[in-house]
Amino acid sequence: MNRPNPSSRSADRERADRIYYTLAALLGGAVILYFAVVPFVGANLAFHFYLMLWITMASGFNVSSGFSGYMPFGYVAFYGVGAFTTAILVKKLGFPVLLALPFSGLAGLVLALLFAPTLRLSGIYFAIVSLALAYICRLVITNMPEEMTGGSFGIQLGSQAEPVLSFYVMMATMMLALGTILWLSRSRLGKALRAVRDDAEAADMMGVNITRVRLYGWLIAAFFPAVCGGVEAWYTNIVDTETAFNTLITAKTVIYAIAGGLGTVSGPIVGALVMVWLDELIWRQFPLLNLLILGLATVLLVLFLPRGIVGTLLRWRPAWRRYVP
Amino acid sequence: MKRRDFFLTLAAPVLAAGLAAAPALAQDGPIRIGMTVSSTGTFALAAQSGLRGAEIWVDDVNSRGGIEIGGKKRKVELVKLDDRSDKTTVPKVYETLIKEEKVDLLFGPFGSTLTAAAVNATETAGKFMVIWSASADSIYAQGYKYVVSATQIAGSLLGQPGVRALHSMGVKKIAFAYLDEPFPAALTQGAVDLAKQLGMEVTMNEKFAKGTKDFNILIQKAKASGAEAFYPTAYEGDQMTIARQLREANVNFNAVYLVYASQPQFLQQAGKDAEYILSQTLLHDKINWKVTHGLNRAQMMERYKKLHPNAQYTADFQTALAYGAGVVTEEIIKTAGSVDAAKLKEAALKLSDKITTVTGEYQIDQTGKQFKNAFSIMQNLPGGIEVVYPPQVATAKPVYPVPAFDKRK
Repeated sequence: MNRPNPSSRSADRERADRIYYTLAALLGGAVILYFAVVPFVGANLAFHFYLMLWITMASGFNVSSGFSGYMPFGYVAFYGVGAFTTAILVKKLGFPVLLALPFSGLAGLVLALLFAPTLRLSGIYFAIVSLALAYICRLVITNMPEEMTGGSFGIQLGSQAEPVLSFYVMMATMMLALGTILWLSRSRLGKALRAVRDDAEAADMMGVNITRVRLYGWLIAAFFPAVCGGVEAWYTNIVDTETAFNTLITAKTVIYAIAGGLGTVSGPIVGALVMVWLDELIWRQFPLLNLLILGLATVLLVLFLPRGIVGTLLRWRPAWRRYVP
Repeated sequence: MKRRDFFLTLAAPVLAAGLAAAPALAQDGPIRIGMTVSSTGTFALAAQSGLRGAEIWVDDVNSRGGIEIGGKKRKVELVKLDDRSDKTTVPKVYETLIKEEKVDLLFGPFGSTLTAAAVNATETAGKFMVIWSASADSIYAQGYKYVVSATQIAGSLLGQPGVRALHSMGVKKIAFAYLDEPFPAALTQGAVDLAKQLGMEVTMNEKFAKGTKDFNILIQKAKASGAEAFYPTAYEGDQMTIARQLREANVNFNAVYLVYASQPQFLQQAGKDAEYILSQTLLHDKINWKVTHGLNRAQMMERYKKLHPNAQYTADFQTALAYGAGVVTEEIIKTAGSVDAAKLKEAALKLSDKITTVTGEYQIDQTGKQFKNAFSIMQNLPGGIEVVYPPQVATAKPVYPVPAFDKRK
């Protein structure tokens, strides 16, 4: 019986890694190039801003769902808290926007720590509790003094609006998210997260600190939507509880992430790109029936590609799993 | 590839972008006004109701040959796109209207949040935006150059006509109560401020929690404070309960003010409890402003039936607000003789206090904030609802003090 030579196995792994990182670099380069020129060619800035936002949101969600196995239906809570943190710091405390944005991320991390006990739950129980917690966050902000949160009219950031600068900050946030998830996908933490997701007891037996690993994954998943909320508040210049905690934000994030395929770096990118462009095309061609057709398209996608676009591709070609980011 | 061809290839996207950004040169074509409508979501009904009002104005202005600019009449074309009541969709839609549809000016979407998100796009592009439904005062405190609220009064002033009406009736002591939610709180705050300015004594200003069903303590407290008028603000359901509990407890004030008390549902459900209560509204058969521009209420309603025979709902105050905004826009364009944003803003300021539309008088300040177009004050009298304030549209004198419950027939 021929045993694989350890050195040839190592060379094989190195070759796979090389292809993996080359593909990741090419994908990242194409994404950077594409978005970087948008403000210079007179393209629709807002459309591309939100495209980047959804890629970031779906990628963040991927960490929680694809890597850790948690389905947070209240994912919007991080986004909403991030949006209000930026708005309050800028408008009420006079922070420069660029200084306020890291605090939005920090607020997301603090909220994630507060929600951390819910990680003991799993499956649908976690999803429901997460949804309830998002609702509680919204209620807390709604009932805070109007001088601070702006009441039902929300907070306007006024003359702080800088569409092009905020566009590039969104781009930087997206690249940071993609870089983090690329690192995570090959790191010990990423492997531990997947192990815990697949079989927590077995992972525990192998010496994985389940609580710590889950918490790290949860914190990464919470940071990016909170920053997204802050950047979006800056871009649109307005934040209120109705829109900042809108469940549609979670719904879109989940759909885009699942459409691409959970558990890979490229899945949420492909999912967001395909779905946002599809949405745009349908919106332009069918002004009155756009949401109905989009709903049908989403149903068909989930029915025929239940693992998402990238997930289905990898199922057809399992060998590519080593190379596709 | 020759070097010249290479550079031309490189420059092509830049040139194309430059041409796309250039203002539309068609001086004889229709004036294109961009607007978003919500096909779905929270604002769908109100936005579509507003759209029907804007369409009445477009139909009317085009039937008169259009708007005169530089001696030539140009028709108006409304370019509508769907915003799905979604704040994250609005910036893209307004950018599409400006960059791709090349509209000359814009109407705001429905509601303060969507309008605030849209203003960002219009100001960046240097386009003029007419607001018809956003009441948040904060929109006008941001230093925007090219926004004008044509018909929608600012939120802080919404509750003030009621106080003015009560003051004119002779009320000197007034008790306020409000649901502990931002909108009733903001409305009440504006009303309290004005009452104090007018020299009235505010004997009580209490909030109550959402879900409160027993208002007896609040009612007794207001009575014990010595108030002549009671002004509790909440949503329609709570207000019906308050009206019922006032009668059940047999607590009499000289005047009771409930903002929703002239709405059909309130009248139907509250029955006798609604008698003599004061309220506010913008569109009612009895509110007939002497319009200086555009159609009057009856004509607008007639045109509504003609243009929208299959509309699911009858014209409401959103319809009137959007129609009135169209009328004001027409005068602004005519006065400016241009669709340039700066000239339009200048004209809008020049026309302040010179226009009365179906929703009332138009008065703005430098920020574009609307100060008039105030709601009219109604009173539910035994013979039917009457307008009791302001005097320009009043159809009856208010009954003040109102008869005690045990003296009513």
